[in-house]
Formats: sequence, structure tokens, C-alpha cells
Amino acid sequence: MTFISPWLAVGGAAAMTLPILIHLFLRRRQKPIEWAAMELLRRAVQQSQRARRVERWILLVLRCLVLLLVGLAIARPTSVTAISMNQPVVLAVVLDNSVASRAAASRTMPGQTAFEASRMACIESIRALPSGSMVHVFTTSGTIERTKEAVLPDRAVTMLGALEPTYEPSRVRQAVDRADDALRRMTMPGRIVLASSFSRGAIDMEAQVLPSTKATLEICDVGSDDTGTTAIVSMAQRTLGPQSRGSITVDVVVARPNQDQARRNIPVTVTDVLTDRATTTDATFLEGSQRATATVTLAVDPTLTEHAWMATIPSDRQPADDLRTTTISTVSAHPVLVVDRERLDIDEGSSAQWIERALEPVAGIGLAHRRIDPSDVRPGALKGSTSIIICRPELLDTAAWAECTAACESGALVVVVPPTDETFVEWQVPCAALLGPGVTIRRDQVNHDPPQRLQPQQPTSPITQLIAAELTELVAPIEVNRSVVIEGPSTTMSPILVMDDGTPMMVLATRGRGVVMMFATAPVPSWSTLATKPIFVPLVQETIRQGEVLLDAGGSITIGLGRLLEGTTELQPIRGSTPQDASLTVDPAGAIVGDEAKPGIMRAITTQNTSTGSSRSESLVALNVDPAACDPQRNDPARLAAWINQTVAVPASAVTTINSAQSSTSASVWLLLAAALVILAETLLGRTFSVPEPKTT
Amino acid sequence: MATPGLRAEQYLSPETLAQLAPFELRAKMIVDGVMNGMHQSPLQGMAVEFAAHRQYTAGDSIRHLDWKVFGRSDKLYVKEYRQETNLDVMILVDGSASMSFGTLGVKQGWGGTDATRRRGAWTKFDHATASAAALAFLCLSQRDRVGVSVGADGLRGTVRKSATRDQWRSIVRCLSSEPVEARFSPAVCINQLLAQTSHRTLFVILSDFLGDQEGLRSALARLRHRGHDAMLLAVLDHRELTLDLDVEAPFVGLEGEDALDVDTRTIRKAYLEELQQHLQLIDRQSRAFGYDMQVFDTHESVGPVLTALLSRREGMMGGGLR
Repeated sequence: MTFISPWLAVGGAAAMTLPILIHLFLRRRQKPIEWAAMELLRRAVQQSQRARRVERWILLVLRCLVLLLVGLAIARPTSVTAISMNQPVVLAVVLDNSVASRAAASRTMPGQTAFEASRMACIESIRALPSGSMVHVFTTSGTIERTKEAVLPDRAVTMLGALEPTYEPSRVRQAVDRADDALRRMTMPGRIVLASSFSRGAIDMEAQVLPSTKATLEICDVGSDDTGTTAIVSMAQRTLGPQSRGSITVDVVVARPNQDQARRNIPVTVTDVLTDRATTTDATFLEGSQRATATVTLAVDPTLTEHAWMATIPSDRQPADDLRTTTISTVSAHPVLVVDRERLDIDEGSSAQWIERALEPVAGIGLAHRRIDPSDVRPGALKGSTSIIICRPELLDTAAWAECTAACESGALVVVVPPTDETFVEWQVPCAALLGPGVTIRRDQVNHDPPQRLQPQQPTSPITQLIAAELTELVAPIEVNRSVVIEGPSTTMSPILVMDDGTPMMVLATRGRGVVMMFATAPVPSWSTLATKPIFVPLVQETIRQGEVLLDAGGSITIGLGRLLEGTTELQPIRGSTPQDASLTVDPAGAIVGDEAKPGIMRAITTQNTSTGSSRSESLVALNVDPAACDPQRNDPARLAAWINQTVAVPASAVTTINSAQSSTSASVWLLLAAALVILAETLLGRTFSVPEPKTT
Repeated sequence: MATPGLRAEQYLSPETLAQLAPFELRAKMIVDGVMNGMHQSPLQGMAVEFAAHRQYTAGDSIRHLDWKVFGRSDKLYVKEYRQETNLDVMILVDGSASMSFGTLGVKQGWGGTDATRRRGAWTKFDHATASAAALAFLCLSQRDRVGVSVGADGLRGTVRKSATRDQWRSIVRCLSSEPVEARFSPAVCINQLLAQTSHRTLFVILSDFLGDQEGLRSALARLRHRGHDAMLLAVLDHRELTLDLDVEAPFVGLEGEDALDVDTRTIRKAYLEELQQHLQLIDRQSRAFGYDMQVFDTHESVGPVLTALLSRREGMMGGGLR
């Protein structure tokens, strides 16, 4: 017999000595009593005390037994079925493949997900089976029963290798019950292996997971988080679809049971499960409030359609009786803010109207947007926004420009369109300052007669990379009648589109963690034909999409061989790789130098040196990938994960296996019943052999 | 005398008596209580009661001639009385070590015996001596000759029978002692007393009678043989009578017995049965010799018990102590 909490059993045994000590202590403390009628006393003692003394010892033993039984019951004894090492068994493996299992399980191995570690633990258990054994495979999410009948171990291993984590919550209890039922139907002795990280997201309830049969349950605890100090408290998954853009907002609601508690800050970290990008912010409980919300803005990869986020709170900040629930309440993408006045221009429309029309979905592809009045650009108005298109820069005052500058420096994309109203000329100075030092914008607009055209060969730019192949044809029909002249050093800004005379039609500059882009001409017919040409919609949308990717908080994922790797590339291990893999080098052509057998997902930091300067971008690179397993065009994260799972091995020593057993609950109940019976017997004995309490003098 | 409006028993409680020293006060209080509690004293007319007339014969003293009958009938008759001499009473108080047992706590009063002061409790010896003094005072007030003796393994102090005025002082002095570290031997004590006794005497023995039963039977037999009367007053502590203790402890005898580990809860029933048998044995022995026996509880008042004893004796003997 073993115990789930053996120290409680030891405590029960130690408590058994308590009545004995009390007995001895009381005996020692009794002072002698003088008595006259000793002869009568002696005769009475001879008559009855011997029998009574035996009964008293019985009572003492019963009282000790009560304490021992209660201690054993609390310790939850388990009876491990004696199964011979060579006896064939039916093994039911229950694999945690819930969304929580996508989290890292660095307690066992750095850079490994809990799912991978759990699966390897299951495979290890299967491989250790004696010959003739059979295996049932169950998962906690999705389809629970993966095998209708028990299969051979080799087939089970293959089946486990093909499994992948889901985005669904865990149903551990249900899965174990199913495994339990399956073993009931078998004649051979059974065992259940439950492999999970047992983090809060991995178990469906706080209750113990214990089967009711006589099968042996082995619990493989594969660790729960990266540092051991963080607990997964909530996970959310969204399919953002083709509208997915550079950033989203995740609202995390933290609740506490007691509203009388004082003001308190709880650090909440929201991590993108797939990219490991994490942002931490505080959820502040006001005094007397039970709920607090932490709003986190995260960059998402526009090439992915499935996203999952994990909200965590340091375990030392979430005692069980303090914080009760943490949920990701909303995940929302940000609309593009278009700064212009609400007005109806019947003749030709304003720049804002043309741009908003370009943001509307065409063939299912579009970007949400919202109009904001220039007078409303005040401190806090742009918070959380990542894309701001200023169509009426002449209406912004000094405070509004400062707010735009601050938003840009904190990681926002600001696009400036020159005003068509020539009355105001004061906007050029703050706008040039926003673009960077040394940048100037001429006070007067330039009228082109004949209209200017754009150069057929446009410079390479991340903004136009997706339309680079057709760029020559797209820019050809554009005529520019009027423009502003933007001048500045190449180290500050780089051109995106260039006109025939070499002046930039569109420039890009970085400002802090953000990006600033400016058009030299307005997308209205009186200034140019830009808004009416086919290039306009993809140009506006790519300006937003790729512009947000360039933000410091953004990034891109490249699946497959390092197609975009150029220049000097630094690789950092992320998942499925070991620290040694960080020494991998990649040549400028993107080929891996040296040992190519090292697999893993790397964060590739690429520094691009171009004629207009250098830029730094990050991307995720899967090295040594099987092309059949991962199609870069489809960007299927599940297939990526499957590839990861196939290439990462877990050493058996990294898996902590706790042998537990079933029926501990029922055993505890029986022990408690036994203790109750003993107490009853003790009471009956006490009543039977005691005389009515006399009055004391 | 008792204050009007108060019951005599109030003055006879051990708590009160324990605060009354010397013995004169205790005895007078008890006797007053006894006298007030009885409608007619059984001692009234003692020794002067007319029995019958008989015809005068030669040799009779002419002091007893009934001259009134002679005047009416011209015949000589003499008066006969039931007893012509006063009663002789000898009170024997057990002064052994077991009599120093007492569990009734008493307040420090204006006096008390040495035993009371030493133990801070009303002991069986205190109760016995108070009862003995009351009886002695009662007898002296009826001009009976009374003597007291305190004994253990032998007589430790004796006041010979007398009815003089100084007798009371002697009795008090004798009773103002304390128990000694010895066992009570009734046979030895009675033998010593019988050696000093010539007239028919009422022996009042106050003891817990926890000692030698055979010796007690032998002493009673010798008293019966010599034609004396006897009263046995068994003085026992309330706790001895009930064993109202809930302890498990070693019990130590007062007369040198070995310690005994006892759980009172377990043996109470057997103890009470043993005690009952013991008291019934003493009662049977005393009745076998025509003597009377009464149990005194040291936590109860002395007066009512004495009154009950005297009333019963009056019924048995036809009046008084005789």
C-alpha cells in the first residue's frame, strides 16, 4: 500500500502516540490520596479493577486507532495492483492535447511544449510495455477516444506521433473516465498513463483525477510553465481570418472574491502561444472592487490566421484564496484611425474619403477604420492604436502633433497625406519634425505641367514587396499634378515611390519604435490620379499591413527554408531547439552553414543593408524543415506544430513520473467509516463501564 | 439556648461546630439542639420513676413507707422504684490514625481541636469528640456519672466516671487531644476499661470501626458477659460513605497500609457494596448482643442523629439511655 500524501500517514501514526502520552502524563501527575478505609478499598480493587483495567487499555487502543485511521484516510492510501513486470497489460494512455499544452514546459526541457513532453512520456511508457501488451489512446481535447479498440504498441506510437495539440479546453476527467471504461471491458490487467503539464489550463477542474477501477494510474507530470513561477490561468484562441492585421487588443479580466481588499496591482502577462511574444502590464484592483482589467496590445503576424494567447499571472501573486478567475475577455483588432473632419465633398471627395474607400474590403480583404476629428487628437485619444492616417495635418495643433509623435515613438504607424486646402501652411514644420531630423517640406506646393509620372523602376521597399512584381505596370498610369517636396538625408528616410524627377512620391522613416510614412501628393483628382488607379487599394492596404509589420512590436514568420534571409542573420532558439542550435549560421543566400541536421524553430534577426540605410527585422525560421510537412503558402500552424513534434525528442530523464493508484478516495472513505465505528465502539464501551458522574466536593 | 426563630439544626452543623471551641460551647449547642428538637425528653424523671407498692416486711427501711396509704388504710406499704441509683456512662472515643481523615473543609474559626487546625478539615475525630462531649454534657446535666476515654492500641487518656462539677472540665481536657499514629484495638481498650468498672455501665463507643472486626466482636462479647450495655456510633466521613471521587491515583492508608493504585470510577460500585456489607456486619454483631448501632456522617449535623438515636433507644428500653 502506498499513499498519495505519505507524510499525512506519518502524521497519523505520530498522532497515535498522543493518547498514550496524555495517559502517561496524567498518571504521573496524580498526587497520592490519603484514605482511611483502605481495607474496603483493597477488597473492591481486587473485585473489579482487574477487569476494568483491561477495558481501559482497550479504550486506549481504540482511541489510538481512531487517530491512526483518520491519518491514514487523509493520506489517501492507494493499492497498487501487483502486476508482474513480464505480464502483458492493457495500457490506456491519456494525452493532454488541450490548448494549454501548447505552452512551453521548460521544467523538463527548455524550448519544449507541454504537449511534446507529454507525448514523449506516453511513448516511453508504451515502449516499456512487456510483449503482448495492448494500448488504448485517449486525448483530453477534441476526439477523446482515438482508438476504438486496443491496438499494438507500435501502432499506438505512430498514432501518438500524428497527434497535435488543439485549441480546445481540456476534459481530463472525461478522458480518464473513458479510459477507465475501456479497461473495464478488458480481461487483461490494465494501467492508465495520464500525461499532462497539469497547469491550470490543462485540467478542467480542481478535482482530483482518479479512476474508479482497479487499474493502475500513472501520472506523468511534465511541468507546467517556463519558469516554474508562472501558472497558466487563461487561454483564448481566435481565427482572425484574412483581415488580421498588425496588432490586436487582449483584455484580461482578473477577479478576486473579496471586495473589501485594498488597491492592488497584479502583473498580467499575455503571451502569443505560437510566437512566444509576450507583453506584461498591470491589472489594478481599485479599493473595494472585485474585478480588474488589463489591456494588452499585441502584434500579430498577418500571415497567420489562427492565433492563441495565454494570460498568466506569477504564481506567487495568485494565492488560491485571493485571485479566483482570470479570463481573456475580448480580443479585438484595432481600426485604422483616419484623421479628418466629417464633411461631404460632392465634387471630388477628400483624401480621407478616398483612403477610407481603399480600406474597405475588396474580395474579402480590407481593414477596419474609424474617423477621428483633428480637434479630438488629444492625450490618450490615440492610445492602443497602431495605425493613424493624418489627412488634414493643417488642422492639428501643437498638442495634437505631440500626441501623434508620442504614439509613433511608442510603436504606432503614422501616415501623413498633404492637405489640399492651401490656406494653412503651418503644418509642414511639425510634420517634417515627425519624419526626422534634417527633413524639410517646402512651404509651397509644386504644380507640374505636364503632370509628373513615376519612375518605372521603383526602389525596393518592404511596403511594396508583395506588389513588386507588378509595380512597374501599376505606377505607369499615375499622373501627379501637384505635390509637396520632401527632402532629407537618406539615413533618416527612405523612398517608397519616386517620381520621374527623382523626388520622392512616398517616403518612409522610423521614429522610435514606430514608423512614419508620407505621401508627397494627395489622393484627390486635383492633385493626382493616384486614387483612381489600380495601385491605390493595394498600396493603401499594404502601407498599413506592412507598415505595422515594421513596427518594433511586429514581426513576420517565414515557414520553410530561410527564403528571406539576407545579410547578417542572428538566430535565437525559440522552440524545439536547444541552446546549442543558436550557433547555427546562415549565409547571405539563406543557406545554412555547417551542420544542417539541427532542427528547430529559430527567431531570425535580419539586418538589411540597402542603399537607403539599414533596417532590422525579425522572423521565425524553421530550419531543416520537411517541405512536405509544411507549406509556406498555407501557413498552417497545425502542420508547423506537427513538424515540431516530429523533430523534437524528449529524454526520458526529463519526465517526472509519479506512480499513483486508484481507489484512494474509496479507501479513504472506508477508513473514515472504520474510524467512525471505532469511535462508536469507544463511546459504547465508555457508557457501559462508567458509573454516573457523582457530585464532587 | 438557641435563638428563637432559628432551627436547632442550624447550630449543630459540623461547619458551625468546627468554629466553636472549646468543647463546652459545642456540647451545649448540641444538647440545646437535641432538647429543642424533642417534644419530651427521654431523660425526664430518670431514676425517680415509681414502679409499684408492696407490703412492708421486717427489715425494710421505713424511709420508703407510704404514709399516705397507711393513713387511709392503716396498712404498711413501701414504694418500689425502677432504679435507685443514677446511670453510669462510659464514652470511648477512637483516637487512632484513621480518625484523622476528613474531607469537609472548614473555615478558620475561633478555636477548634488540634486535628482541625492541623488538617483544615472537619475530621472524624472532631465529629466523634463533639458528639462525645454532647453526650457527656447531657448525662452530667441529668446528674449521671459519666466518664470518657480516648483509645487507640490502648487507652491514651481516661477520665473516670463522676457526676461532680469538675467532671465536665476533665472530660473536655481529655477530649481535646488528637489522633495518634496507631490502630484502634477495641478489645484492648474495652478490657482496660472493664478493669476500672464495677457498676453496670452504658458504654458508648465512637469509632469508624474500620479496624479489627474480630477484636470488636470479642469486646462486645465481654461487655455482654459483664452485663453492661453498649452503643456503637460509627463515625464515617461522607466521602468514605460515597466515594465521590473521579481520580486515578495511588491511595495511601493513614495507618501504615501500602499504597494502592485505584481508579475510583472503576471500583466505586464494588467499594460501596463492600462498605455496605461492612456496616451490616457491625450492625449484626451489635444486635446479636442486644446493643444499638448508628452511623454518623461527618458532613451531617450531629443533633438530629443523636436525637434519632435516643428516640430509638427510648422505644427499645422504655425510656432514656437506660
